[in-house]
Amino acid sequence: MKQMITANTLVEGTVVFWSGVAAPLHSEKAQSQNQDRPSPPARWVRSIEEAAVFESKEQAEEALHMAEESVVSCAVVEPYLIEVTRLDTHLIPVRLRERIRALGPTVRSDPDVESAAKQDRI
Amino acid sequence: MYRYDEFDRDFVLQRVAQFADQVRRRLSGALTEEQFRPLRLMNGLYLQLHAYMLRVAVPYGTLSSRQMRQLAWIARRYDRGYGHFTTRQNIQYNWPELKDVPAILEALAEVEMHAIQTSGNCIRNITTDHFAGAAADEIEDPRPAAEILRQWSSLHPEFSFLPRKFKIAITGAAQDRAAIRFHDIGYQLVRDATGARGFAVYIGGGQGRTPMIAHKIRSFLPESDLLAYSEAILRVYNRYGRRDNKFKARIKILVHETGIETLRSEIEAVFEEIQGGVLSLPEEERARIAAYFAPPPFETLPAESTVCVLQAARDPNFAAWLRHNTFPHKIPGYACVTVSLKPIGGVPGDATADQMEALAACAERWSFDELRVSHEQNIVLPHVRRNDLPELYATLCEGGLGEANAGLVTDIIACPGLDYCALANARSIPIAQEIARRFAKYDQQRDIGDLKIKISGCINACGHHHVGHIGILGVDRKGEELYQLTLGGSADENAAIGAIIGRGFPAEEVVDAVETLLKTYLSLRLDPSETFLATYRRIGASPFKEALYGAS
Repeated sequence: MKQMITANTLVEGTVVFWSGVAAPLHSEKAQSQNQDRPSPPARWVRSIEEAAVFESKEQAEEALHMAEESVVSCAVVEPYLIEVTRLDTHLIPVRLRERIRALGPTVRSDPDVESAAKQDRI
Repeated sequence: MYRYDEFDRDFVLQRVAQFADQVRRRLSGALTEEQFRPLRLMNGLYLQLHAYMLRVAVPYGTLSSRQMRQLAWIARRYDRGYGHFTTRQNIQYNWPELKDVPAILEALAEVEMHAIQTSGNCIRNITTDHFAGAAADEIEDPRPAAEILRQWSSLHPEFSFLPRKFKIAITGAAQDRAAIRFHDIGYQLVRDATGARGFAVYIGGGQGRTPMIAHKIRSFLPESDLLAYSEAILRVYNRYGRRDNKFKARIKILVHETGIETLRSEIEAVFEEIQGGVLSLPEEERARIAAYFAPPPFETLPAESTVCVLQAARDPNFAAWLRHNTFPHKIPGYACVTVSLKPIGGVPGDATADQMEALAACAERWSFDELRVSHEQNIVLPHVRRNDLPELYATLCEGGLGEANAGLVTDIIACPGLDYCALANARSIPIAQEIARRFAKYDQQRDIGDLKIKISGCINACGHHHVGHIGILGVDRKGEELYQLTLGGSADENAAIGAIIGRGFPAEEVVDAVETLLKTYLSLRLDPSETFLATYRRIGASPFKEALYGAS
């Protein structure tokens, strides 16, 4: 069973995934607007493609423990594990709920909203 | 019109400042999420699937053009260019960022709006008939009473931590467009033999996982006792309502477990103690508040408009819109207009910032600056001269707001469902979109006639599926979306809870199932004037069941 870690960022509420490696901060905008607070561990990414995948339960739980430090540092809220599965060359969440979280609502099609949504979409 | 007074202004501004400080402390880490969650919920801020969601109160669904413009501005500046009007006559923003919420609340306060009591275990926004103060069949405008209840219930210290949320609805007409029998308290404005104003009182209605129709506990409550009686009901509920189980905490369960007669005597006993005290409503105070809702300066006009009749003869699209999207007004020569937020294939209840501004402009020009949010997720322009209807219709069409489908098969209520909501088990909106596309042709819609399809993505029933003529409930069955159909529900004065027709359908089959139900209805109705609901009530579930699942 493959797993990933997901959460929402505290400042924006955006869906993010644990990358497991030091990477650019999850939101540069948030960093610039909140310089008075401590920098969060820079290990969260917006794209599920860049998320770390854990093959064993032990690995996943150990990583979740590390990811939870980002709660203390105010980077994210409520990180949790999700199951993922391989589809062609991509890994996608098993549950529909998590697929929708990863890709956005399935329903709006008007161009303005769509383009606005894409700016932030992972 | 709703008027903010100095008390509202002070407490809203205090609350904005308080919440801005709470957000600052949360972002700095001084507050944990656990500490912050109840504080944000008290200000209407949820964390949903993709983002935060801010629910803004629209008192009894009434808005001015200025307020609607501000809602549009907020959608554009802080959200993704649209908002979602809800079955609670409110608006929700789906994408605000936490850091922006204090600024959004400030922007709302500028136009006398807020997000207080749109969440949590308190008395929620009071809802009413979207045609209040305008409908021809109304006894009297229910909004003065709704405003009195709003003032009483706002930040009421005794009722800020109830066992569970508490919803009050009020109607001024015998034809119930406010679903009062599905609220914790429903008030219906009536007059006694002497002509005095009062209320028939219903309690214990609700939907969710345990749908119940409210019981009438008073046929006539004098108007001056409105607050004392409301307080008595709330006090009894607050004392005896269950706090051990969230799913059994609503007053409907207390009514069910205690028995209506026992509860009625408890309420009457408390009422007797407080009646005639500080909560008695002085007539001069009632009149002062009623003056906020004084009718606009209507003109004296002939009942029929030649311009309108001629245009309807020329333009079948306008004729269709006139037929379905206007409702008789109490003043000759005027109409109540329902602006559909259900374009074919659109998201029920969504409006873009441009559309909100267009609606504000229409209200300013043609409806005395007034708009209403309906619990059916449409917008109402309550007071339009019939002479102006052709021009209004043309303007609405330019903004993609001219759908002629109010009350028809494509005028579907749908909750946000799994596309947005953290509680949902299945999607609602795509099902609504697919049904609308299937029945897009006007002639087909007109032939089917009055029909209420209501869709919820979970058992909490925000999409009112229990009271849909056809209700659709999305559930999760082993990771797949499955949709249960209920038939025969109704939220009006002939209230009924829909009955499950049989096993559920996967997403790709549910629209076919709805079509089967409608074909069955069309083949079995006595004549085109017999509605789906009337046919169902006459013939029962069996023919529909057989059509869906074959003979048993």
